[in-house]
Amino acid sequence: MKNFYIESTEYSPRINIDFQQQKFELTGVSRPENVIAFYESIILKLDRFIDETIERGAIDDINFSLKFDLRYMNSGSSKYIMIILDRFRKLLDKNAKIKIDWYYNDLDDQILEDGEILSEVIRVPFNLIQRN
Amino acid sequence: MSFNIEKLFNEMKTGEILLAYKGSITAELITNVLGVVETKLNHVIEKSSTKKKIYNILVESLQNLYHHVDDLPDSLNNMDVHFGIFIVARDGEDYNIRTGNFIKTEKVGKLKERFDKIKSLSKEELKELYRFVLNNQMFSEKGGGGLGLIDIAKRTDGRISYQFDKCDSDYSFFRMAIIV
Repeated sequence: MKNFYIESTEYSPRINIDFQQQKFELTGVSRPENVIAFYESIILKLDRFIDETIERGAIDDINFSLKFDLRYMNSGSSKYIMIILDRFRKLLDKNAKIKIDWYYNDLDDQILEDGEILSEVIRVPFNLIQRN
Repeated sequence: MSFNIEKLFNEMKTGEILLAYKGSITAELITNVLGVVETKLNHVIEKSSTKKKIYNILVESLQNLYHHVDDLPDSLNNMDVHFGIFIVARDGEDYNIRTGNFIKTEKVGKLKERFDKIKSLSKEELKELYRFVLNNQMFSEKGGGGLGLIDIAKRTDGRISYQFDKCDSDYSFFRMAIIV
């Protein structure tokens, strides 16, 4: 499957999905003007990948690394990140390997709390990593 | 019309004003305002966690405004399209974020109910509600995720107040004040 890349703007994150390397990265600030339009394109791509993988019976080959390196996200983005995680959870439930790295700045960073809540709700542990 | 928006705007401008706006609420405006506020906050506030908190709350409240403003019919008023007010002020140690917009009076009851419910919840209960909405509620037609107000309450320990002023038989003016 072809890779998926969108450059960041001041208010929307860079998205990089490399299906060969099995890497998903979301980096920057996430409060896009139209949160639905921005994230639906990502979900669509993921859904196609997941359907294809299941069809090929290739779940065992899945060893995906997810990296969320966000400096700010609004509540609408939180919701979409939840939907993205839910898609990966689907693969996880079928015994795929998924690793989630969640970056934050300092202990009073809201991003840390957002990450903890998402991890709890989706019931998948995150590697919470403090930026240097 | 006895309702006077100028008077109301002036009433809302108490404390040391860092930013006050009244007019059309557009996506572009929000982007510009956030840029201005970020610069301004960097000048007036030392503590980075306070800055971040104000910024977060401002984003959520501006997006709330953007998604929930009802336009007055032309016949009633020559208001800007998608009219809203927002103010950032300092009041002693506290920072205040105030917003105002027109809504249809028929929505007032439901909104009051939602506010009162959210205001009555403890920190833990707010977190619980946040988790629930995060996981269960769909996006509204206007593009709201339903988390904005809960998020604000969670960050401010429920220090939110609201007020409705009747404009005419169909419309009310909704004011919200958040203390950070």
